[in-house]
This record gives sequence, C-alpha cells and structure tokens, in this order.
Amino acid sequence: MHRIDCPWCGVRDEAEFSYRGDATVKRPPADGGAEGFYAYVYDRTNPKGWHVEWWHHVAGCRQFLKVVRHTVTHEIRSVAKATDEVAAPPA
Amino acid sequence: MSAPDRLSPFGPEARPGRHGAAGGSPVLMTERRVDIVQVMASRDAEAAGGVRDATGLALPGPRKAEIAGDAMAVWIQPSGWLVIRPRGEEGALAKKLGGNEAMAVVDQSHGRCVLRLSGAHAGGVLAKGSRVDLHPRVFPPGSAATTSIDHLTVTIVKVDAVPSFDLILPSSFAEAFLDWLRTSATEFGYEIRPST
Repeated sequence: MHRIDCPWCGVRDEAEFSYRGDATVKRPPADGGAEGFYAYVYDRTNPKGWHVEWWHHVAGCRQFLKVVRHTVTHEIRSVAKATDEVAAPPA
Repeated sequence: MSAPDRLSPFGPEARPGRHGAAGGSPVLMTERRVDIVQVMASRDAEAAGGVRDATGLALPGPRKAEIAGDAMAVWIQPSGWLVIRPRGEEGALAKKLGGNEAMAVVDQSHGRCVLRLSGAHAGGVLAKGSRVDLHPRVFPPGSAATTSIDHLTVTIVKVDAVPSFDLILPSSFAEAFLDWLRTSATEFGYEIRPST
C-alpha cells in the first residue's frame, strides 16, 4: 500500500487515488504530425527505476498530482502539484 | 409555490430510537436538514468577499472548516468550498451567492446531505472505515477532510471536542452509508435522533 502525501490533503492511502499514467510525456504542437501524436499517445519508456507519474486524488481533493515513484521498490520520493515542473531523479 | 416536504435520504430505516449495545454513552446520529451550495472560485479573494457578504462566513484554507453556529463553509478542494446553512426556502442560498463573477455556484441541497455523529465513541465508529487520522491532536475542531469510507466519498468536518462530526454524503448513497455506520456503531450502542 502506497502512502501518498497529497500537497493539499496530507498523507493518504493509495486507495483514495487513481493512477493516471506517465507524467513526462509532452503533447506535441498542433502541427506535430501523425508520428508525433502516435508517440504522444502510445510510446512509453517504461523505466526500471524512478518515474514521474500522474495520480488523481479522486476520493479527496480531486486534483491531479505528480508523484515520483520507484517502479521496483515502490518508494515515493516526492509529490507535487500538477503545475509544478518535476524531473525524475537519476537512477 | 412552495416545494413539498422532502423525504429523508437516509430512508425508512432511519427511525429515531436506541439501538445496539445498551448503557455507556451511545453515539448520536442526527440528520441535519440543510441547504448546501458548492462554490468554485476563479478568483479566491473576490469569492471570499462575496460569500462573506451573503452569509457572514469566511472561506477557510485547505483542510479547514469555518463554523459559525448552524452554518459552515468547508474547504473541499483548491478554490472549492461547500457552504452549508439550515434549510430555508428552496434555492434561496444559491440565489443569494450567485451573480458573483468570481465564482461558480451549484446548489447541492438535493445532491448531498449531512449527518451529525456525536459522542465519546464517534471517532471510534468512523475509524473503522476512515483512513484519516481523527486523533484530536491532528484533527481538532474546525478540521475538514474528504476521504473514502465504505467506497463512498465522504467529507468529515470536526464540529466540536465532544467529539461531534458532520458527515457530508452523496444523498443517493445515504441509506447505504447509514447501514455501514449502524454496523460500525453497534458495539458502542447508538441513538438515531429526529432530524434537526
């Protein structure tokens, strides 16, 4: 069970959250082309190590959060607001 | 034209009476007949001024509720609050708060309902289903938390040190939630009070 420290609500159990995927993908500009949008929708790096992820606090404040989680140990290093710039730490 | 009397969202099983374990200090359950309006601000300070002018309530910061007698403003999310007052004329509270361009106002008086849980064991009843730490040291009166209980999203407001909690629930699930609450309260004994 993850314990996620929501910047709005405080530490809450994983059960209140919904995992919403990779938070590192960037939407290409409107003229990004079919390949650009294909990559945006489907291509994921699936790292073994630190990963920046979207988690939706769906049973709480209903905000999207950026969570830095280790995909092997499940350690959570930081939780930030959706508008914050967050970089994955080096492996 | 006045609206007909509303049925309780807690259903026919919510008859006043004493249930569960005898003696001790029963947990009191009281439906509060209230008007509930959700306020979503685009400009927080202006919205706070509008709510204060209309109701006298300040809009509290995260994890807090501003309680003034029977009325309260509860923080539920960034720039989002619930304003709660004893039930008045249908739609009057929303109308009073509306017309302010700094915020969107949605009448939730039918969508949500409020149950007050009070007594020495009220925290113990909630603890069986709530993941939020309700210890008085970290959850004093005036605290608010939206969380999941029995698969439902419930906003818990600590009203006083008795302790008393106001539970803000989705009305459609109020009957199901009460079923969970009664099961949880049986070991302590509980009393369903007439709604106020």
